[in-house]
Amino acid sequence: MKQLFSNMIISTNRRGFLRTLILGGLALQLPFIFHCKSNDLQVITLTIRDKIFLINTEFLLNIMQILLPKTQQAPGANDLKSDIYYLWLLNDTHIEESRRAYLAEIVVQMEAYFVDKYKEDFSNLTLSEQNDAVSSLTKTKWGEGYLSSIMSIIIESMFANPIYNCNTDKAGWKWLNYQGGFPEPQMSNKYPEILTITQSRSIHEK
Amino acid sequence: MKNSESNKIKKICIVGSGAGAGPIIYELSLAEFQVIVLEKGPWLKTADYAKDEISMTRRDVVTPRLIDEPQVIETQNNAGEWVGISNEIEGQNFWNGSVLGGSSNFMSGYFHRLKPNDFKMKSVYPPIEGANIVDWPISYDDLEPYYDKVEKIIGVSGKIVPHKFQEKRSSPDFPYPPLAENYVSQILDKATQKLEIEIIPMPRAILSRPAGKRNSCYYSNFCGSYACNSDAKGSSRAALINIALETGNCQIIDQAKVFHLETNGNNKIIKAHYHAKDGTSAYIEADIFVIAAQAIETSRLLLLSKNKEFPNGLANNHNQVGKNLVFSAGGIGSGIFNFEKLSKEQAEKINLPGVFINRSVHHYYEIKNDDDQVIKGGIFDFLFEHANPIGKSIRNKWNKSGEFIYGEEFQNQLLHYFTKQRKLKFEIFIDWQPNDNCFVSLDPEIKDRWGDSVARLRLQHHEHDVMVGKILAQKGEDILKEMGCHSVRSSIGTLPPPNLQAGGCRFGNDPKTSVLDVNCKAHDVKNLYVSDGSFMPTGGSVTYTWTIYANAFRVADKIIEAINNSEL
Repeated sequence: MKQLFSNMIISTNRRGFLRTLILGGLALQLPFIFHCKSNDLQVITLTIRDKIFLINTEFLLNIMQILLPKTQQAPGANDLKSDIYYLWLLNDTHIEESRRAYLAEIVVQMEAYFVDKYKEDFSNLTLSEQNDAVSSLTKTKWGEGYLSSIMSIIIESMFANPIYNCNTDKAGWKWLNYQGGFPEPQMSNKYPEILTITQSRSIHEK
Repeated sequence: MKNSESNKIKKICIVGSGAGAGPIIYELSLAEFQVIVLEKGPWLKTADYAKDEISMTRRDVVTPRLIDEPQVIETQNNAGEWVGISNEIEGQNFWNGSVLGGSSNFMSGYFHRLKPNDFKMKSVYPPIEGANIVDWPISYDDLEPYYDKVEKIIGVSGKIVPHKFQEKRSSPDFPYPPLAENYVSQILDKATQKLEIEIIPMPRAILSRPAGKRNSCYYSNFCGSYACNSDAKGSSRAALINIALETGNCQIIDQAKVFHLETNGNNKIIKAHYHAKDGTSAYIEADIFVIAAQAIETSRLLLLSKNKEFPNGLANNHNQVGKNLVFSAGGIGSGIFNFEKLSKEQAEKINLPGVFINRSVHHYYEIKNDDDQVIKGGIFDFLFEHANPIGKSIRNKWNKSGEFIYGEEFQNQLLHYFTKQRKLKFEIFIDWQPNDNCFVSLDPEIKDRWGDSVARLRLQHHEHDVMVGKILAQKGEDILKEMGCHSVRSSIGTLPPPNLQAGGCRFGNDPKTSVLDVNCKAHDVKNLYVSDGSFMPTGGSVTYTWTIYANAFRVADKIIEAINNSEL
C-alpha cells in the first residue's frame, strides 16, 4: 500500500502497476490517473471532507459493466475505462467536495448493501445473481438514484475525448457513429490544464 | 473620429469585456484614449479553446465554481414568504462566461433586432396588470444606425426577405451572405408555406466569408456553448477587442474581480478596486468608468459600492439599482425525424452535421388576446438538438415510461437515438414582463471567496408571459407536425434563462424611476456609464445580444461626444 496523493491511497498486487504508481506520484495528482488501466486497482482509500472512503474498484467496475456491458456491437464500461474515469473524478479537487463525497459514498453504500443482503462479496456472486441484485436495487428510489449517478459518469467516459484516458480508441464514438468536434483538446488545453493556461503564458505573449 | 493628443490624457476604465463592453473598448481605443479593461476571468485566446465537451460544458472552466462565487435564489414558500437558498445548493447558475469576451464567446449568434414597437410598449399595447412597462427614452430610429454598424463590424450573415414585421433598415441587405443550410430548411420552408406562416432566414453573428484576420465559419457542429476556433463568430473578443489591442491604447487586466468603485465626495468615481490574480487587492484610477459585467453582476457591483456619499449603493439614490431585472421568457419545442420513414438519401441529408437550419418565424410578433386586442407575441427560431452527446445520452437513461434503464435496453435506445433519428427544436422568445418581484439585491449573509456579499435574486415570472408562450408553442408544434416530425412536444418555462439577462439599471429621463440617463450615464454619478444589457427597461421578444452591441456602440459615441464637449 502506498500513499499517492494527499488524499488518496491505493493498494495493488501488481508489480508493474507499482512502477506506474511511483512515477505517477512524482507528478501532480490528476495526471497519475491517466497512466492507469482498468483492473489495475483494487481498493482505494480516499479522504474527502475529512471522511475516509474505502472504494473497492473491483466492485465499482462490476457494477459499471452491468450498467454498460460489452456486447458484440457496443463497448462496455471496461473498454471505456469508465472506472478509471470515475476515480479521476473522485480525486479532482476542482470539483466540489460535496459532489465527490457523494460519488464516493454511493459506491461504498451499495457495496455494503449487497454484502449485507447476500452475505457475500458482490464479486463472489454469479453474473446472473449480480444482474438480479442490480435489478432489485433499481426498484428502490435510493438505489435507482445511485445507479443513475454512476451511469452518468459512464456516459461521460463514453463520450469524453480519449485524451482523458477513457473512450479508448474512440470506441464510444465509433459505436454510435458520432463525430467529435475539431480542434480536439490537447494536453496543454484539456481540463484541468486550461484552468491555468493564462498563468503559464508570459506577459510578452499577452 | 478625433485623434488628438488630448484624447490620450483621458483614461477610461471598463469593467467587463463582453458584448456590452466590446464596442466601448473598440471605439475608445481607436479614438486613442487610454483604455484599461478589468476582466474577472482569464484571458483565453482562440487557440486555447477546443471542441471539448468536458472542459466547456461539464466542468467549471469558463464560469466560476458556485462554491467560490455563489448567488442566492429566492423562492416563495407556501406561506408566501420569499426564502433565499444559495445556488450552490439550489442549482440555478447565472454565470455565463467569466473569460475575456464574456459570454459572447459562447453564444450561438442568433441575431434579431428589436422592432420599433418594442421601444414604446407602454404606448402601443394594452396595459398588463403587475407589469412595470415603460417606453424607452429612445426610438428604433435612434438605434438603427448602430444595428447597422454591428452588422458590418461584428459581422452578421443572412438574407433580407420582406415580411409583415420587417423593421426599417438603412442597408438593403446583410454584409455577409447566408451560411450553408441543412436540407431541413427546405422542408421547413415548404411546411410554413402550406400553413401560410411567414418564415425568414435567420441572421447570424457568424462570418460566412473571411474578414480581416477572422476566418469564415468552418461548420464545426459545436457552435453554441463553445468558443469559435476560426473567429467567425462575432464575439467581443474576436471582433472588437483584438482590434482594439492593435492600437496600443488598450490594456487588459485579466482575473481582476472589481468589488468597489470609490467616489471622491463629489459624485465622481476615482478608483475601481479589484481582487487581483495574485490574491492581493489593487485599484485603477481613471477619468471615466464604464460598467458592463452583465446585468446581475453590474447591479451587484453598484450595490457593493455604497459609501457615505451613496449609502444605498452607487447611483442608487432612488433605490432603482437592481430593480426590474428581465430575462427572455419563452420555452422550447421539439419533434423527431425518424430515418426509417425517410429515403436513405433524405436521412443522410438531414443527418449532415455542421450546417445550420437558420430559420426564424416572426409571424406572431403580435397576436390577439381573448378580447381581440393586439398584444405583443414573439418569435421562434429553429435549430437542431445540440451535438453535445453527453447531455443527450444522460437524458436517455430513462425509457418512454420514465423508468431508469441500463444494460442492453439502454444501449439499444442510445443506438437508435444516435443513428436512426434526429431531433429538431424550436426556441420561443417572448417578453419577460418586468415586475416588482424580479430584482437583484445583496445577500445579507453569504459571501463569495473574497468575502464580498453575493447577489440575491428574486426571479418571479408574470403569468401573462406563460399565456403568450403557450400560443406560440402551439404554432411551433403545428409546423413540426406539418414537416412530418413525430413525438412533437413543447413546454413553456417559468424559470428565467440564465444567459439572457437584462435590466436592473434602467435608462430613462426621470432619475426617480431610472438609474441611467438617455445616454446610459448614471443620473447620480458624473463619470459612470453602464453599457451592458442593464439599461433595457423592457427586453423585447428576441435574444438581446444585437441590441446590447448596438447600444454599446451608441454609448461609445456619447462618451466621446461628452469628452469633446468637455462634459467629462
